[in-house]
Parts: sequence; C-alpha cells; structure tokens
Amino acid sequence: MSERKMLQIQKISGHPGPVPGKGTQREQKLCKLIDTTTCIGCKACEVACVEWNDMPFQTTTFDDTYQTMPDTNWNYWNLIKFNETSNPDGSFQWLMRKHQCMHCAEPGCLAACPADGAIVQYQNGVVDFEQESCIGCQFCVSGCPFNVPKFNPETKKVYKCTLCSDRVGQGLEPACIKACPTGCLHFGTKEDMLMLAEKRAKQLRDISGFRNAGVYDPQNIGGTTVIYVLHDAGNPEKYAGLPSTPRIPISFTVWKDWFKPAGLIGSVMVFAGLILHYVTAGPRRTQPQPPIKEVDGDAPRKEN
Amino acid sequence: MVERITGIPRDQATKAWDAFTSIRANGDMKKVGSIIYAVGWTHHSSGTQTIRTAAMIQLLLGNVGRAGGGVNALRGHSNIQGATDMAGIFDSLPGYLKMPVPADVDLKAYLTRITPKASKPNEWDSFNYWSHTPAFAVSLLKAMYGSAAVKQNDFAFNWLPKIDRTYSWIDIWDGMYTGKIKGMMAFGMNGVMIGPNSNKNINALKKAEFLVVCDIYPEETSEFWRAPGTTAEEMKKIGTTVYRLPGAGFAEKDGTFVNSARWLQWKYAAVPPPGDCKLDQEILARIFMKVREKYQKDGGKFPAPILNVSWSYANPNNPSLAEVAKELNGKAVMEVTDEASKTTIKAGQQLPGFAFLRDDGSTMSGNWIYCGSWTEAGALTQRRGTEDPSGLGVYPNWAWSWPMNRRVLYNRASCDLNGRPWDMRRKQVWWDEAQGKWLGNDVPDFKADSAPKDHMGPFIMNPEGVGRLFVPLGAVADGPFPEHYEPTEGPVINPLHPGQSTNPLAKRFKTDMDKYGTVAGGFNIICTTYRLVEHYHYWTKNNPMNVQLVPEPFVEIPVELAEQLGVRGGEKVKVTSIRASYIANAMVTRRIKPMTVDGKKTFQIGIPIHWGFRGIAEDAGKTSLNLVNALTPTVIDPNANTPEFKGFLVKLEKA
Amino acid sequence: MATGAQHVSRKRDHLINRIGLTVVYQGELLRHRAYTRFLHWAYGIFFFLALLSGFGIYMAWIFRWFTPLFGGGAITRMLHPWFGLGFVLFFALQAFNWAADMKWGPGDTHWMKRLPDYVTHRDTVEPADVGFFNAGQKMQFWEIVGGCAAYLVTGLIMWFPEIAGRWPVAIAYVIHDISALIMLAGIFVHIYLSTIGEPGTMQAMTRGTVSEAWAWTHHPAWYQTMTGRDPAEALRDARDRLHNQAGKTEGTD
Repeated sequence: MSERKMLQIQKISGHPGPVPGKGTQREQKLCKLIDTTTCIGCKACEVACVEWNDMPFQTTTFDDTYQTMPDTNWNYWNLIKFNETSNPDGSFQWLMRKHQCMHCAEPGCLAACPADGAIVQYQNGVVDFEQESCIGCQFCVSGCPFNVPKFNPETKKVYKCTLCSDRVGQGLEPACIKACPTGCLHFGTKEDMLMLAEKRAKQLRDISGFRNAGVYDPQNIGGTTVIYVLHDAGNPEKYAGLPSTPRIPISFTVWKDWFKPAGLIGSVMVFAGLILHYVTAGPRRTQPQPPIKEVDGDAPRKEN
Repeated sequence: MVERITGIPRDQATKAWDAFTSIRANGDMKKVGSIIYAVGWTHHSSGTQTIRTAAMIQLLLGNVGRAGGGVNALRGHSNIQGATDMAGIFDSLPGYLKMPVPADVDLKAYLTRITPKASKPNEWDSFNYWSHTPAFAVSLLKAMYGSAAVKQNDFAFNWLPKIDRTYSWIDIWDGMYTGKIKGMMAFGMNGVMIGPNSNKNINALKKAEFLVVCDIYPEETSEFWRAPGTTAEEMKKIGTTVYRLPGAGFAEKDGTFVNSARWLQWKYAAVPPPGDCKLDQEILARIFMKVREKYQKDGGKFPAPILNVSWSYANPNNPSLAEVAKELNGKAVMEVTDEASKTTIKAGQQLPGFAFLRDDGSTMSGNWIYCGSWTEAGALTQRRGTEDPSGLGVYPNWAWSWPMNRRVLYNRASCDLNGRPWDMRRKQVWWDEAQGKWLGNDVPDFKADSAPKDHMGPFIMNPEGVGRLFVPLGAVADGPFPEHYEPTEGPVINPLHPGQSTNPLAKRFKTDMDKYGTVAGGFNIICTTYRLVEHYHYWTKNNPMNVQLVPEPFVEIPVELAEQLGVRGGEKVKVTSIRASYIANAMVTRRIKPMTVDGKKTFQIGIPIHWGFRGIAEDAGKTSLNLVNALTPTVIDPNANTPEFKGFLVKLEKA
Repeated sequence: MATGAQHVSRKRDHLINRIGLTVVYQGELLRHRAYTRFLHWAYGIFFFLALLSGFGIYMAWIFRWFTPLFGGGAITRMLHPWFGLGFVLFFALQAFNWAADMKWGPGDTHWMKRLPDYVTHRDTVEPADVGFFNAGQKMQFWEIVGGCAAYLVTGLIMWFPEIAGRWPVAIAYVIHDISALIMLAGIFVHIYLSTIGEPGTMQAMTRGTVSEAWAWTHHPAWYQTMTGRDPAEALRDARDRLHNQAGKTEGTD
C-alpha cells in the first residue's frame, strides 16, 4: 500500500495529547454527493452496503411504507428514507433521501466519545469507528445530530457507515457509489463535488422550476463529507428529518472540553486545600488537650 | 374532451404537450424529444394502437431516426428483445419473418405472400429491404435443416409448422383448459403467477396430462396441484404428471442478452449451476435427442422435420451457446461473392453480414438480423470498447447491435433532404458528395450509395419507404388509425362513442371461467398491477435480500378511498374482481390520487405482483397466499395478444 | 443506649445486634453498631470503585490511567453502573438507618452560620446543642441522598440509552458529572475530618466506639444523652485532672 493511499489521521476520540502524524501533509478532503433529485429509491445502494460489509439479511415487516426499515441499525448502515410531502403551493412530492453517516468535519460522535481511539477521523474526512476500543457507552448516539450510530446489544459495540474506508484506502469508491444505477451518487474531492452540486442546484433553479434548490453542507458543524442536492434546500426537514441546523449537544463540547477539566482541577484543589488546612489550622483535637509546653521552641502561650 | 376522458386537468395536459412540442418552436430542427414507454402502455386491449399513436407523434415531430429521439420500449426482462428476435412468440420466425399459414402451399406461395413489393408514393424512392425476404427465409431453412434442405424439396419449407389461428400465450392456456392441449413445457415461465385469471390456468393444469417445469425454485406452476383452495379430495383426482427439472440461473449461463437498444451483449457464466441443475440448452438438447431416438426407433407422425433437423454440435447433448450464436450469424454453405463490396466468402466461413445472404441455398443463417454478430473476426458481441468518439453516446465498439451495428434505426431521418444533419453539432450520419456515399458516427441505416437527390425514403423496412400515419389494411387487426377505447372492464362509458366503448376487436374468451366484471355488478374501483424495483417478478420472493427490502405483499390505496372505507395503513384489505379475491396489507398513500373522469370521481388502486403461494414470506405464513393475477381478466389486444393487466374492475373492503 | 437502634423495633434490634461485635471499653461510648459500620464500608468501597471507574470515562486525559484497573474500557463501562448501584443501594439502607438522626433543627442552621469558626478552630469544643450528628454531617448526608437520587436517575438513563433517548442522555451526562464532583469534594472533606482532621473519629467507624472526651468535645448534646452528665462539666473535670497530673497550674479556670 503506497503512502499516498494510507489514511492520515486527523482526530482521535478520548485521546490525550497530539495525534500521530500531526502536521504531516494534508490529504484532499473526500466527498460523497447525493443528488436527491435524481434518486429513484431503488435501494441498490442498500444492497451494496450489506453485501460489501458482509452483513446478515434481516427479517423485516410491512410498515405502510416503501422504506426497508424505520432507521439504520447496527447491521444496516445505509437506508433510503421516504417521505410523501405536500408543498404549500399544492404540489406533491415523494421525497427519497439516502440516509447514512454524514462523516462530519466536526463529528458529534467523536466529541462525545470517552474511549481512546474508538472513533478516528482521517484527514480525508472519513470518520471511522474502531470497535476494538469501543466501550459501549453510546455517548456517540447522543452526540450525533443525525442519529446515525447504532448499538449492537450483543457485542455491546456501536456501528455505522465507514464510507467504505477499506475501499477508499485502496483508491476505490464506496460500494454504494459503485452500485447506483442512475448516477445520482458521485464521489470525488470536496472541491469537485461542491462544484458539481452547485451546478446541479443552479440547473434545478433555472430550468426545472425548483426555485429553492440548493446544496446541503451544514457549516455549523464545519461541513460534512456527505452532501446533498435538495429540491428545497430551505426545508431539509421534509427529507425524512434531515436537520436544518444539526447541533452537537453542548454536553459534549463546552461541558466536556471546559467544565470537566475545571471540575477535576477543582477537586484536586479541594484536596490540596485540605492539606493546607491541616498544616495551618491543624486538626480538631479531642479536649482537654495537655497544656502546651512550647511552640517551635518559644515560650508557652496562654492556652486552654 | 381529453380532460373528460383522462381526468388530467386541461392546463396540466397542455403544459406537458407544450413542453414536448416546444422542441420545434420556430421550426427549429436541432432539438429532439424521446418517448419511452413500458408495459403501462402495452398491457391493454388497445395497447398496439397506443404505441402506434406514439410513433405517429414522433414522426410528425421529426423525432424518429434522431439520437435522443424515437419511440423506445423499456423491455420488462433483460432478454425480452432477444426472445422476440428469436421468435419466442408464435406468430413469427427468427428475424421477424412471418409464420407460414396453411394457404402457403409451397415456398413460392409463402415468399410471394410475405415479401412486400416496393410501392413508391409520389416522388419517394424506396429501398424496401424486406424485398430480400427470400434470402432470409431460405437461409433460415438451411440453418434449420442443413443439407436436408435443398432446392428440390423447396428447402424443406413444408417441414415448418403452419399456423391456422392464434396460438398466443393466453390461447395456449385456454386450449389446455378446454382439453385441446394435453400438456406443457414451462421453462422459466411461471404461468400460474403470470395469469391472467390465474385460477383458470391452475384448473387448466389440473386437466393436463403432463407438465414439465424447468426452473430454479419450486414455484407455483410446478405446485399448481396444491394451490390454496385445493382440497385433499381434489388433489387425489388430479392426474397430471409433473416433471420438475432443476434449471440454471442467469449468473450460471453464458450467451447473449439483447436489450431495449438492440445490443447483443455476450455474457459469461459467473458460477456453474449447482448440484444437479443443468443449463437450458442441455435440458432441451437431451429431450430432443430422446425424441429423435424414439422417432428413429418407433417412427411416428411426420418424422421428417425431427429426423432431419441440423444438429451438428460438438456435444449433441449439450450444445454450447457459442456454437448456436455462430449458427445464428450464419455461414457460407458454398462460396459466396458480394458484387458491391467485391468480397468472397469461402464455404464454411462465417458471414460478415446479411447482405451476403442468398435465396439459392448457398448460405445459412439462423436469424438474419443477427448476421454480422459473429464473423470470422470473432464474437463482436463480446467487445467492450468504451470509446465514443462522436460524444453522442453511440459507443460503436461496445458489443454489437442489430442490424449491422447500427445504433439508431432510420438514422437517414436525422438529416434533411440534402443529406445534411439537422443538428450539425450532433452528426449521426451524413452524405459525402465526394465519396458518393453515406458516412457517419453511426452506421448509416440506409442504402450506402443512394444520393439524396434520388429521394430514397429513410424507412427502408417499409415498402413505401416513408413512415406511416395511416397503415394499410391488414397491417394491424383493429384499424388503420388509432382511436381511444376504454379498457374492457372499466367504469366509464366512452364519451367519444358510447355505443362502442371498448376495442371491438379485443378478444375475450368463452369458457365458464372467463368472466368480465361491470360497475353494475358491484365492481366500482379501477385496479392496476405493477412491479417493484426491489423484486423481480415471481422468483425474488425466494431471495432473502429482496425479501428484506420489501417483505410482504400490499395494496396501494389512495388516502381518500382509505378514509371512506375506514382503512388504515397496515390493516388487511380484500380486493375482489369477478374472478377472484386478493388479501394483503393496505398501503395508504397520497401518491395515487382520485381522478375526475367523465365528471365522476373515480378511484384507482395498485397491486405489486410479486407474491404467490410459495416463497420466504409465504412459507412463513405471513401472506394470504393469494395471487394478484387471479384478479386479472382474460382479454387481449388483437395484434400483440397481450392481456389487459393494467386496467380492470374490482371492489375493495376491509379483510 | 445505642442511638441508631432507638427507632428500630425490638425484634429487628435484636436480630441486628446479634450480628457483629462491638466492645465498649471503660471511658468509651458506643457510637456506631456493627450494622452501621458494615453499611458504611460497603458503600465506601462501592463509592471508590464507582469513582475510579467513573474517572476513566470522565475525561480523555485520564482514560488510559484508570481503565486498566478494571481490565479495559469496555469492562470499566460495564462495571461502573453496577458499582454505582451498589453504592446507592447500601447507602439507601444507611439512609433509613440514620434518617431520624439526620433531621434538621434550628441549631443546625445556627451551626452553619458559624462554619468559618469551625474551620479556623476558633472554639475548641462544639456548641452544647450539637447532637449525634452536627450540621455539617447532616449537610453531607442529605447531599449524598440528593446526589444518589441524581446518580440513580441519570445513571439509569446512561445505562439504558436505547430506552432513554439521545437528549436525556446528553443532559444526564452533565448532571451525573456535577453530582460526582460535588460528592467528591464532600468525600475529600469527609475523609479528612474522619482521619487526620479530627483524631479519634476513625475508630467510630472501625471499632464502633469513641472516647467520652471525643464525645463531649465534638457532640456535647449526644454525650449528655448517653451519660446524663453535663459535657461542659465533664470537660472541666477532665481538664483539672490533666493539669493536676501535669503538675503545673497555669492560667486555669
């Protein structure tokens, strides 16, 4: 494997100190572009993901929808979510959105994770779970604004889409991209995919009558490796709950980064304070104490 | 009137029409529009006329012969095009040669009947390429009967079967039901599931003497004898002998698939068939060899065609499809020279193309339209060249398309009367004055040296050389000009002519099991059937991956109708036609809307076809074991004999 | 009489007192019976186990120091809630044991106001109305009761996040931390005052007894209830004896 193809680490969860390779040459950021306007909901991408990752077939039940199952699972990482929606102008759309890990630039899962090395973000944008280091606490589930990571109650580990890091590391595209028959999935550098996405969005606005078409690349989490072209970029919620402003709970950012260390230091200071108390004020002795003969060699003071 | 018939609001229909015809705004000829259709148009008792209408629109708009234009069928299976090319239907021979009829007393009579004579309307010249029919037909006979087909015996013409009536799919089942047909061999065709009117098909099989099924799963047809509703006593009385031959799946076979664009693409077997399963050709070959042996030993009625069929494969019990493909291309039986290209083909060599076919017995070819696909250079169907030098998406070196690797048929029509492409930025073919011939980024579908000034019509397969807005009598069964007719079972009286609401030539059947429902009979909901992306007809219900994606059968019901009936999504509903019932989960959706047809609010429901009484969900007891096609009617289009799966009457209630 | 046993039925008292042995020497008073001591050490051990395992999960800086104690991150996470549950359950028993003695009175409010004097040792003995537990101890007790309730709720949420949901976990995450930090600070103080900070206290929870002098110094009202003597008087007598023994009389009262 040439060095060019090796994945360079950017961030590691629960890890003190700098990451290995910090400061080395940055790889290009990857991007998976999903054009919801040309997706036909055929689920070839779902099948490709299951097959590539050797996941077992599951028993599903009829749920009044074409959607394979209600949400992703520990062994089903890629799911087309369907939503029948009526628009204010009276038009009707059957929206289909390929739902999987967004591989955020500022991953909520990584921020929340307390275990050293359980979640690794590579310089190319891939956020990968390393199950050997996972402690099964599921804070990542709370940290993710998209509700992507899913827990396996038997192995007690959490799983999600890997952006086919094993394929990408060898210079191949993810399995879902390869399987898509309509070409609504694109893969390349972030720069190129953004350009492609903006071009498509403009086409939708200018020619196809979708005046609010745009690109979904939420900046409040630094952007995402997975971006969408939406017919209605002002209303991502109607694409089966795509959050318009994905937020990482401050528990895993402000609290974790500032208050936890402060608390620890505070406790240490209490401990130090008690030692200080002992050497200054001294202990509370049982009374009566014997009369003092001397204090540090001085003459005795009046004492009771 | 259109709004009244279709239920589509006038402004929306107009908007669509305006968009489509806007390509010719101000007489501009550069843009092109395509019509792409599938069985939603053809599964009707006037389906053929619908396709005719599309052809007329495209002719009028100048969209035929243009890259990105045309009338394009999205075939329902990966090799349906191949099936029709190779005469998988009763009324043609390979290459769309017409079937002989009893009145064709000899080869001459046959060829005279089916070979069109050029008719040149007004100033148009015509190529009338079907005038070469004799060469195609005789070459076919030579391929079938080899050295036993000679001039003296009319090239064995009288060994071909002659059809005295329609022997369509539905006629076969009807024949079996009425006792005229004694048995059937079903290869990869689940006739019980296909229907229409599946219960009639099941009862037909109960009367048959034998049934041979070759398939990859134990399926409904081979288990017709225990269809739900068959009592134990009834089962004992069924005398049909059923043979189940384990066949090979698509990934276990090589050969060619032909797609909607007429590309013959050679495919390779990924894995060998498992266990005792055998390839189709091996099964057929071994059956044939045994039949021939029996004829040799015991004689029989009319042995000549059986005993003399050409069967010179390396392994007669298991011919390779490569050998067959070479036969279909054809070779020279005797040395053949083509004057135009000054090429000579030695005896035994593969032919370079159908221009080399002769009607004197010196050539053989199993299918003239495939001639050129496997030449001395090898199997062009195996090519995978990704070059597209013109940028038009022609890909001339990817596989091989019939005829002669032409990618867009009638591409002469992509140029004006002077042979200049309508869109100079997208040149398909063009007339080169200096060389005195047609050149192109695509193979010109035309007489190569016919100068534009000679006015030869682009539609070289018509004797008149021009496209038809009005077809000659006899070309279609139900009339020279399309007309709107309602489906045979429908809730609306045709406002155009209430006295003849439906296609007068739509064929109905006359047994006790052929019933047709009416609104008066209580069947007031329109039902249609269709397929899902996640399943493929009737066999993926055995595959865990497909079953995972869509696990159980359902009926799609508009929200308004569901509210009326008090049905919620996930509850069981019962759909009943005059023929049968179907129980499944309700999927309540806003995607299907009620429509106002002829002033009345009408409801339509839709049912995916994929579930039957054998499969993963079925065997687990999760379905009602009903078949959708038990609901559908036995009424067919008079030209294509296609059943009307897409529109019939039902009633809907909670189960 | 043993204070904790006051509110217990005779039957139970009998049973509990049959288990464990507490030897009260001359000059000593029975402070905590065996049952009390057992509970205290039980939840003390569980507290520390929960604390150490919790530290591993608490912060990235210390994850790798604390998780090896338990066999790795996954086992640490698995054990932590059980340790916590042990702590809460044993402390709950102690809470029933001590609830009556921890009731807050007006003297306790006054005691809290005097806290700076307590810290600086302005007085060498406690106010006369300080009973079995002083206000500081009561404060800590009720803090732990509240803290345990917070632990239980937030801990269960984080133990079963699939049931609890994502936002409850994110909120529980913070509250569990706050409770732990407060309780940790409290326990530092508690250990200090139970050991070097107040000599003679440790044996209350090991042997179960304390000296009478300890009693009249730190819990005068309780001394009075136990012995019937006035603690101030007892202190005076003791001091006199001490000074006489020393053989020097200087500035006595």
